[in-house]
Amino acid sequence: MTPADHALSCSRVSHSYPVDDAPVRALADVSLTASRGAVTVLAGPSGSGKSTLLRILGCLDRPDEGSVEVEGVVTTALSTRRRRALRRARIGYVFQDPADNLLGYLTVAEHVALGARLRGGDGTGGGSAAVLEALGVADRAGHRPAQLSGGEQQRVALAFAAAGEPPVLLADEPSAQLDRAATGLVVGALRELAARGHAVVVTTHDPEVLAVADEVIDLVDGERRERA
Amino acid sequence: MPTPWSRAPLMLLRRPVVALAVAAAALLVALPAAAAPLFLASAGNATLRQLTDASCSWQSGLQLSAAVPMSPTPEAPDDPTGAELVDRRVDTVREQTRDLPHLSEPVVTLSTGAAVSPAADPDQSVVTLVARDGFAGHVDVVEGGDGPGVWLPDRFARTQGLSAGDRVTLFGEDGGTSTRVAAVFRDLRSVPEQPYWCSLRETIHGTPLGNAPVYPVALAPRDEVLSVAENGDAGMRIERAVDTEGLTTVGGRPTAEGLDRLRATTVASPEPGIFDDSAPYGAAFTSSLGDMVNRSELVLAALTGTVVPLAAAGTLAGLVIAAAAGAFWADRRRAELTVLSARGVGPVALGGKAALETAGAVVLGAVAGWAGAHGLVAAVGPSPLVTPGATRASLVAAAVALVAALAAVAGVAGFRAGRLHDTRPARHRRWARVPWEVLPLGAAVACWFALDSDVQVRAAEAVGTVARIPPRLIVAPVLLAIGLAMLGARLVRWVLTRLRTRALTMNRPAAFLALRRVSAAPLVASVLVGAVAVPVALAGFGATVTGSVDRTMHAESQLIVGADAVLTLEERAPVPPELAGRAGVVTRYVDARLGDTTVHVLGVDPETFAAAAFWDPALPGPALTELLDRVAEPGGAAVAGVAAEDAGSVLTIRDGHRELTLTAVAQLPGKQAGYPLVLVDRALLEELAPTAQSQLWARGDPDEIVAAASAAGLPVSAVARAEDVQASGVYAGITYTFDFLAAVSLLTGVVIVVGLLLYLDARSRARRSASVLLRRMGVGAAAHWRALLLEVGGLLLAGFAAGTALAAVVIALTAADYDLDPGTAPGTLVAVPWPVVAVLAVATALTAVLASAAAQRAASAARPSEVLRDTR
Repeated sequence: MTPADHALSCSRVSHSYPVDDAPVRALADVSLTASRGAVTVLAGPSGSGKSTLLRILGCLDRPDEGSVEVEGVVTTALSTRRRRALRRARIGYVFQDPADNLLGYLTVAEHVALGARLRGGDGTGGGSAAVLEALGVADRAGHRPAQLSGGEQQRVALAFAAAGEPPVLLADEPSAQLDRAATGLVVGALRELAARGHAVVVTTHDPEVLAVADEVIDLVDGERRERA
Repeated sequence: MPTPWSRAPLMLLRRPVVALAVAAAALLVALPAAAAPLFLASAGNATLRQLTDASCSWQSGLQLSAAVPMSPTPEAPDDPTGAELVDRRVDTVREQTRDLPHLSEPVVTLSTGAAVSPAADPDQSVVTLVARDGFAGHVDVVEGGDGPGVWLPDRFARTQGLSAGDRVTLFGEDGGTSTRVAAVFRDLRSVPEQPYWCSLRETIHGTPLGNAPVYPVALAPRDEVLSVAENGDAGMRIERAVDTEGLTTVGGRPTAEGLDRLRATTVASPEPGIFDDSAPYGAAFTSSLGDMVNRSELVLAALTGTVVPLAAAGTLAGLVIAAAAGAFWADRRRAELTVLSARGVGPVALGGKAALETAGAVVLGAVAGWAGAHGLVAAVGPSPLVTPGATRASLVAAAVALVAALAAVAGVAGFRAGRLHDTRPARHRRWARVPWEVLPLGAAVACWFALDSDVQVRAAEAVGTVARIPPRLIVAPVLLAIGLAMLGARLVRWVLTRLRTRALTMNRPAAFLALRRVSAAPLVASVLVGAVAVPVALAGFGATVTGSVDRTMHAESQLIVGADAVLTLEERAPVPPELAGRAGVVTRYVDARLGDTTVHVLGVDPETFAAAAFWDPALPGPALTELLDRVAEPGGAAVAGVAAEDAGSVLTIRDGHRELTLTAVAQLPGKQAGYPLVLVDRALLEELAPTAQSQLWARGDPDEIVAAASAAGLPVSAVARAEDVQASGVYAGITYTFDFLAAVSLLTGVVIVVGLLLYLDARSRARRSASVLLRRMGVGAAAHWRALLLEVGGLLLAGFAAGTALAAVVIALTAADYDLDPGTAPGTLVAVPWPVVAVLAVATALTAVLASAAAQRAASAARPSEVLRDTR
């Protein structure tokens, strides 16, 4: 794998949260790279800093220290407005709760069309069918989120995030609220998206997700640990 | 393909609570903005109405006076005379004022002097013979009333032994006219004044302090008067009263200008032969309508300086709620905004979505605000009349308010949405540490010194001045109250933050829960306390200033006159039984000396004077009853207006002298500008000056007092009323200013209630969860409601207490300025508005109970299974 394949990387990222005016460390000196076509998994117990790191990688938070690059652009040096533009153009993000990923009044097809439109597409829905087909929810194109199961909602969320072909796809514990069967479908969707050329980064402690990882990065108490 | 933006306009229909909050916010922004121009116009129109009502409507409209020569003069042998001249003048006036609105039909009055014969008392046989159109409908007929002839006043008829049906001769300057007594009517001097006769007030009552003889007014048809005046002159008046129905400052202007044109053609440039100004037949033209319109506009100008800042403050308070509604919208749309913001949609686009969603509610709210302003001004404003220009201005103001409210909602929603991701919290902590309260406090000090402190407003036109509340007396205290409230809120926050980190041990779960909830959100709690304190402080301040200004002005006018009404009597008379206990006979002598100082002397009955005269317990020096005790002692007297040691102690009246034991005081009832006033026992004054003028002093409604005096047959020659001192619209602007301040305070109170409801709604999810969890822990619904009551009530009570304290501080700092006529004693008398404080306290308690009960009801309705599943 060459540096050109690295869609996403971070170097010596540290972050802390203020609690009652005292900082509590969430991340310390974490570095990683994620490549196109690969599924990179951030693993670790609750409170290990996985979600914090994912939000920093997705330009949803700024690190206290360290740098993040998305497709060669150092995002930590950018203004909030430019980071937002970068987020819109190059990053797809899926939250843990399906309700945080979808708009209740849009159908599945409309979500995908909106995603593409936000990334500069014409919004006519071109290409959305292929994404939905690839993630196995094409037959649900006319349904609204409330009419879908949890697994379907998460796969639609992935389709929404992947619409417009952003190079980076980030998913925060996408299987946390799903049963085993639904998790299987989501894991398949992640693999499918990686196969379509996205750099997929996922946080999880679900063995089923870990099983499809190309690379696993373990975090413990905000620090990266070498995997045994 | 639909998007969140294309779907936006109809989405709020599914969120009625948010729609209601946004509409309420827009209403609160639009209402004060739209109300200001309407209120100003209403106040101007009310002032005009007040001025026209307080003055004689004939004189405020058109009054053209001229002599009527009964025969040609050598200088103008061809000019019309007598009845022909009267008719031609009336025709001319009617023609030239035909198109002027708000004027009644012309009324013609002719008058001449006449001696009645036979008369039992020939020395008292002279009457003023008056012919006035429609007079028969405006007198109380005692006897007769049919057929031609002269109508005599009852006192005159009684004195002269005449009755209806008698034949009399009316002698003019040269020769007499025989006629019959057609009727006897109640003397116009002994009945309450009627508006119909007001332009003849001086003819009927004479001028106060005037020396000219005043003859009884007898009435007769026009030809009868002209016949008596056959070889001399008659006086003539043509009058058209102002019809105040629908009269506005704008509508009154064309009439005033038309009257000015009439003046130009009658007096300034007389119609040949009709209004010839060659002596002695010159015409005099009177119309005060133009001055009244100018004066009303002056009141309007005086109000603008205070009403506009108050309206702006109200609008800003509304905008704060609009901003809160924007935040409320963002909270209710948090999931959606999180989705879109995470995908790089910026705050402008999200604010635009908020604008698209809320535009309908904002428009509805703004329209309701404008309609509410219109309705409120019409219902409780100074006058229900507004001008078209004011309506247009209020529409523009409401439109601007609409845009501002929408911008506030969208701006805050966009700002909140933009902060969902990628924020820098450290920066906000720095902003929170900035002492923002310094801004309003500094502005208050700056305004106090920079703004106009003049209590008088003068216009370019010579219409005198009107009193007003100086802008600094409104703007600076309002800013001061806001600044101090912010400072107090910071203090509350500091205390709560310290409480949050302290371990609390409480046996009562409700108190523990309330304190924990309040201390868990110190910012919100402190803002709520400060936000409640401001309207309480403004309402308390406004009511205190209103009451104090009113009390001070009332005291000043009452002290000048001495009582509600002072009736000058032609001869000594007892107190009418109907006025017993609130009236007393007083004698006044105006040419006395105390040592070398010229003084006025008031002879009073120490037993009854305290009940008849005005006195305010807050006046400096000994109480009136205490003074009267000293006056009752032999040689006892009180003096105001001069120091006792400067005046000497010997009272001299004509050739009489009396050594007095003087008590010098700052003020006495009846003390007018100029001469010092000495108060002595009436018996002493009557001994020194048997001819001293008799007066009847009484408390109560002046009309009732005059009627009672009339019924008792008192010979009243003049009436002075304390209320007349404040008339003429001089103080109208002051009353209106505080009416508006009270309305703004009320509006701010509504703003706070809406804010409180938003506060409670925003926490409803957490409260629902807590309620369910507490129930599982054995804490019942009653304890939870008590906790809510303590939480909400505690914050509101703290706000109320802070507001009351703020009002006290502001009043203490500004009280000296509440006296709008500092040259007149007694200076500011502060009136503490206890009823207003009580109402505010009850409103605060009621709000706390209702709001907490509603919140408890919502929390109790929660089902544990749903709440426990709802993890967000």
